[in-house]
Amino acid sequence: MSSAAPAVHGSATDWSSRALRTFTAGAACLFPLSLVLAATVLTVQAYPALDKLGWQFFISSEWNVAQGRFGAVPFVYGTIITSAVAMLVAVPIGIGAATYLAEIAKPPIRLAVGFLVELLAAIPSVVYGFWGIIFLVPLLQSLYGFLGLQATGGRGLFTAGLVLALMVVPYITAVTIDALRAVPVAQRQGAYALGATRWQTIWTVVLPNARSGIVGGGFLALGRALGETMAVAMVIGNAPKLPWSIVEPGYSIPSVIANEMPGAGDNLHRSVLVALGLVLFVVSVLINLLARWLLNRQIQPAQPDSEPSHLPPINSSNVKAALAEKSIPLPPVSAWPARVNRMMTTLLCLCVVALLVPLFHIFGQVTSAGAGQISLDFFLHSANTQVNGESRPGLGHAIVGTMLLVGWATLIATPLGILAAVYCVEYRKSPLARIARFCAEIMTGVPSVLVGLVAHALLIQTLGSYLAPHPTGWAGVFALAIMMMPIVLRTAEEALLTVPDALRRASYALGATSAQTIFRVILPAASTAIITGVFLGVARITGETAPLLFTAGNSNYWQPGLEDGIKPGFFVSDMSERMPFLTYYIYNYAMSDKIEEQHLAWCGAFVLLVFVLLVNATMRLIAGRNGPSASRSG
Amino acid sequence: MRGISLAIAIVLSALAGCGEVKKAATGDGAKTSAAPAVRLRATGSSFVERMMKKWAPALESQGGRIDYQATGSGKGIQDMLNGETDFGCTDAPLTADQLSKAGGADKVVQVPLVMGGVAVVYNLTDLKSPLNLDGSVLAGIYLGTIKNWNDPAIAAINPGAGLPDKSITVCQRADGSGTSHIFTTYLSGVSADWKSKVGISTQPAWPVGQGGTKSAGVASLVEQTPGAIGYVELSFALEKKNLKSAKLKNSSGKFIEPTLEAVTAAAGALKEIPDDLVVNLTNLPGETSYPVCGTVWAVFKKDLKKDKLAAVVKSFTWALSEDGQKMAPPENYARLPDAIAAKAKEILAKLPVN
Repeated sequence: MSSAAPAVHGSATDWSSRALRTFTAGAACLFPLSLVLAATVLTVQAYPALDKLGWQFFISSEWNVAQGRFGAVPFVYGTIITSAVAMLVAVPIGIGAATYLAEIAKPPIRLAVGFLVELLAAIPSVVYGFWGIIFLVPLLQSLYGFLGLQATGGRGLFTAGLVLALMVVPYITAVTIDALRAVPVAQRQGAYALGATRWQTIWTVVLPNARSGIVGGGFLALGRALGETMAVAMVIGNAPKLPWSIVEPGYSIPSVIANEMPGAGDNLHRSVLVALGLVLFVVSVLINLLARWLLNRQIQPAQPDSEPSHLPPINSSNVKAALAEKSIPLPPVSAWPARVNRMMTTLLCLCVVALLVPLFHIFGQVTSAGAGQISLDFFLHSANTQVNGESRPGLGHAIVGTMLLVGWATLIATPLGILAAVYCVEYRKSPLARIARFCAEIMTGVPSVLVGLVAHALLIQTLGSYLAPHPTGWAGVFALAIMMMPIVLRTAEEALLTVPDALRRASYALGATSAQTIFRVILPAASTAIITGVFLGVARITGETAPLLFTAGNSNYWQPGLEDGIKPGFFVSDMSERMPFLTYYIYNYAMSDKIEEQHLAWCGAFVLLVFVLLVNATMRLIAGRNGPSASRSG
Repeated sequence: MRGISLAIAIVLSALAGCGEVKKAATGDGAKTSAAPAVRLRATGSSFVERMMKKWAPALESQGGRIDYQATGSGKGIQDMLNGETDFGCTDAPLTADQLSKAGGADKVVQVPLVMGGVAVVYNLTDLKSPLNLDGSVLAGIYLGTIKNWNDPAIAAINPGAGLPDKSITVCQRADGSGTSHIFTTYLSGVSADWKSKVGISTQPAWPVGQGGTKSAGVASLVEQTPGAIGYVELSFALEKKNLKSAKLKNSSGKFIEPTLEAVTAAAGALKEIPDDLVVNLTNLPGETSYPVCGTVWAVFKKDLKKDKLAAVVKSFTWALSEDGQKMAPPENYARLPDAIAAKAKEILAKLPVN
C-alpha cells in the first residue's frame, strides 16, 4: 500500500501551494471542530438536568414529566436489551453468511450475494420500521398467541431487537468477509496439508486468525444498533418500563428523544432528554473507538484474490487428488469430520438464505404495495392539493424537498470532504491529519438523532434570533452535511491513497507545484473512487429521518418558488422556509390509520428504495468490488 | 461538462412541465383574492388537522395561507412559545408555566376553534353490542389494576355481554398530547385513585400500556391488536367503521355513545363561561351529555408582525363565524356553543389590528 512510502511534496514556497495547504487544513479542521461542537452543545444542554437530578438520575426508573421525576434506567435498559437481542441474532448469522461467502461460495455467487447483503445496509431505517409494523408485528403477535404468552400486540423489545438485527447484520458480514480473506493463504494450506476438511480448516484456522477483525465488526454493528432511532421507535411499544419479559413493550434512548423532544419545553424535561442523548453519545463513541482499534489491528481493505490464478485452487479435494496421483497412501478419512463438514456447509448456506429472505421480502412488499399505487398524482401533487374541493394528496413536494436538501448537503460536504482528504493524504504525518481522520471515524458512529439535536440547538435555538427562529431547509442541510462529510473524507482518502506515488513523483519531476499536482494529476486519477464515495454519502443521507425531524420542520405545501410554475432561484430562496422531506411522510403515514395515507407511505418507500438501489448499483458498476460500500464505510 | 448541462436542462424542463400540469390539476385559474395571502406557519394538535385542511381554501381567501403540521399539542405550544410558528393548536390550554414563559397571560391569546371529544376505542371482535365503561373501571384499566377483559368489574356493567378471557393491551399517547390532557382530566374527575397517582398532564406517567404517536398512531395500534383499548379524538372514532367506541357513563348515570349530538348536548349544559374561556368540558351534567369533551384552542402571541397578526385574527374570526362553524359537523367535529364563539370573537376584536 502506498501509505508506507514517504509523502512526496513539491516546492512548498509558491503561493498556490501555501494556499492549498491553508484551505485543505481549514477543511480538515472542520472535523474536530464539529465533534467538539457536538459534545459541547450536548453537555451544556444536559447540564441543568444532571445538576438538578444528580447521580439519582442514573439509578431511578421513574418517568414522570408532570412532577419532574426522571430516571434514565428504563431507557438504558431498553437500549441495552434491544441491542443485545440484535447481537445475539445478527452475530451468528452474519458470521455464518460471511464464512460461506468468503470460503465456500464460488466468486460469481460471492459477488452477487455480497452486493445483495450490502443492499440490506442501504435500506433506510423508516422502511425497516414500516416493514416491521406491517409484517413483523402481526407475525409476532400470532406467535406469542400460539406460545401462550401474554398478549402484548407484537410490539416490544424483542421485535425491536429483530428489526435491529436485520439492520446491522450487513455490517458484520462485510467486515467478517474482509477479515476472513485477509487470513494468509499459507495458514489454510497448512491445514489442508494436515488432512483437514474445509470446515475444520475454517473452524480451527481461519476464524481464530480473523478473530480481532470479527470482534471489531461486531462492535461496529453494536454501535449502529445502539443509535438506531426510527425503526425502533415504530416497533418498540414506547413504554418507559422495565419489563423482565423481552416480549413486552419498552423504550430506548433514541426513541424517547424522537417522541418526547418536540413537545418538551425549554426546561428540565428537555434537558433530561439531552442528558440521555449525552449518555448515548458517550457510549456510541466508546464502542466505535473500540471497534476501529480492533479493526485497524487486523484488517486491510479487501484484497483481490491473493492466490495466483494460474495455479489450481487449494482445497481438500484437490489435495486428495494430487496425493492420489502420486500414489501416496491417503490417511483413512473418518466419516464423522466429513459429515460435520457437509452439515456445517449446509448450515452456513442457510445463514445466507436467512439474510436474503427478509431482503427480498422487504423489497417485494414495498414494490407490490408501492408500485401498484403509484400514479402521476403522487409526483405532481402536494399533501394539501385539492382538486375541485376534494383532497387529492401526493408527495411531489416532499420529493422535491428531499432533492433540495440532499443536493445542497452534497454540494457543501463533497468539496469540504475532498479538501480535507487531500490534506490527510498529502500531509499525512501532520497531527492535524491524524486528528481529522480520528474525528471522522468517530463521527460516523454518532447516532443521527443526536446530530439533529445539535443542529437544532445551534441553528434554531441559539443562533435563531440572527438566522431564523424556525425550522428551515438550511438547518436540515447543515445536519445532513455533518453526516455526509466524514463519509466523503474517508472514502476520498482511501481513493487518494490508491493513486500510485509514481504519478506524484513524475508530476513533481516535471516541475509542477503541489496544487497543480493535486488538481491536475491526483484527483482526476482518483475521481472514480471519489465519485462512488459521494454516491455512498448521498444514498445514506437520502434515507435519514431523525436529523431532519428537528431541523427542516416539514411543510404540506409546495415550496414557495414552485407554486405557480418555477421561479428561478427557487432552490436558494426556498431553503429558508420549512422544507418537506419524503422520509417524514413515510414515518408518519406508516403509523396512520387512514388507508389513503398508508398508500402514500408505500409509494414513498418504493420511490426511496428504488433510488437507493440505483445509487448502490451504480456505485458497484463504476468502482467494482473494491469500491466503497454501505456496510464497509460504517 | 456538456453532459451535466444537458442533464440539468432536462431536469429543469421536467420540473417546469410539472408546474404547468400541477397548475392545471389544482384548477388555479384566477386568483380569488387581490392581495397575496400571508403564509402562516402552525403546528399542534392532530385533532384539528382535518378541520384546518377543510378550512384552508376559505381561510386563504381571508388572507391567511395556513401551513399546518399535526405534531401533537405539546409541540404546538412549544413551537409557538419559541417563535418557531405563528400560532399553535392545542387541546390543552396553556399552563401557568407556559404562560409565564410567554411573558404573562396578557401576551398570549387563546381562542377555541371547534369542539370535540375523546372516544375510548377497543378491539374485541367477538363482542356483539357496544361495551359499557364507567370512570372507575376505565381508571382501573389504565392504572393496571384491571388486567383482563372478563374482570368482574367490567362484567358488572356489561351484563350478559360474554366478555372474553383476554388480557387488556392498554394503548396511550407517547408524545405530548392535548388529547391525553382531556382524557386525564376526565379520569381525575371520576377517580380519586387516578388523581392521586397520576393526575392531569399532556405527558402523563402512565402506569401501564404502550404508546403510539398522535391519535392516528393510537388508532392503528388498537386496530392491529386484538384485546386492545385506547383513547382517540372523536373524529377518528367516527370515521373508522371498524374501530368500536365504548359507551361511557356520564354524571347522570347513563351510558352514552360518543356522537356529535352527545358532545353538543354537553356543551349546551355549560352554565358559566369564564372570561378567558378556559372551561373544563368533562363530566358535564345532562342526560344525553357525553362525559369526555374538549375544545381545540388556537394560541398565538400578541406581538406577531402586523401582517401576520392581521391574517391570524381575520382567519380565526372567520372560523368562529357561522360560515366556518357550519363546516365542522360534516367533518365530524362539533360546533362551538354560540355563547363561547361570541366571547371568542370579542377577544379577537379587541386586538390592535386595523
